[in-house]
Amino acid sequence: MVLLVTSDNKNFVVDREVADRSVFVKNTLEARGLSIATPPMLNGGCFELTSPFLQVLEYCQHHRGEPLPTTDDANADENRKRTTDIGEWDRKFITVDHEMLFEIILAANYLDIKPLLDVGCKTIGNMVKGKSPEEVRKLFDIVNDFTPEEEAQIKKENEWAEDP
Amino acid sequence: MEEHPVAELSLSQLVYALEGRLNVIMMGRPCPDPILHWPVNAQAVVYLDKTSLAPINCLPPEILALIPTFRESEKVLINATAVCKYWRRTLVSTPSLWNKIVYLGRNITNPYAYFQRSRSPFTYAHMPPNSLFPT
Repeated sequence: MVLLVTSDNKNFVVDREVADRSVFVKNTLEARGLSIATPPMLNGGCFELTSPFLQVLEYCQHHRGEPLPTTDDANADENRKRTTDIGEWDRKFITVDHEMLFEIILAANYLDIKPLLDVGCKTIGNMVKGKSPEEVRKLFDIVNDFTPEEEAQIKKENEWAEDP
Repeated sequence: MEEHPVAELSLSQLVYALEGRLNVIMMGRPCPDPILHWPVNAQAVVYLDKTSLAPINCLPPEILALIPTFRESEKVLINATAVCKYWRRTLVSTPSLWNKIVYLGRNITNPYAYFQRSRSPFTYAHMPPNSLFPT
């Protein structure tokens, strides 16, 4: 069993197999020979901490024991990026509101859980797919900070990109 | 109290000056973006573009740049460069996004931006059989 402490001082006791889904935790445990890891996760940034961590734990529970992706296989990396498919369970898991999605992505990045980071990024990619820049701004509440001249130039530059 | 003349710099002038210095320090080849009017090189500068408080822009540049690696159409990448300055500068200054055209439509007219932004010779370009001779 492993004790994980989030930066807002909540304790989580999980199986080693579950904790090992996070390469960050795995390496920390192996390097120090400890059974306690304190991820200083998300260090207070824009979000609260415990709720995304619970989601991340749920993901790790579900995928416990699966082989971790090897980092040194360049080919596997290429294939990983070639597809936007998301597994059935993962798709349901990641169907959350935007802010939770971003928090999960940040946590997955910090804790080095590559498959979860991929699922998050693919999800945003799928949301953006087929949308014009204006629609993307509306979707994510982004302010258009280009000047009208810049916008016109970008539009002209991007005219050639047509869908097959 | 004696008054000293002070040259006032606007924020964008300051950024430009700092980035010029960074270019010299990092000896990087500048990758000019003709639209935002200053060379896109140092990753650090993109943080200054975070003018919008949209939650998605809390994602750091390295994650933002990861999103279009899963594209199914080049249009996803191209459109993303037109969303806001933070997105544009992050994506344009990430060479690995531009060193291949994976999903080329029939309309091959201007891979110029890809050449420029990849800052390297192409490693990969996939062309569907009917892309050269559209029916």
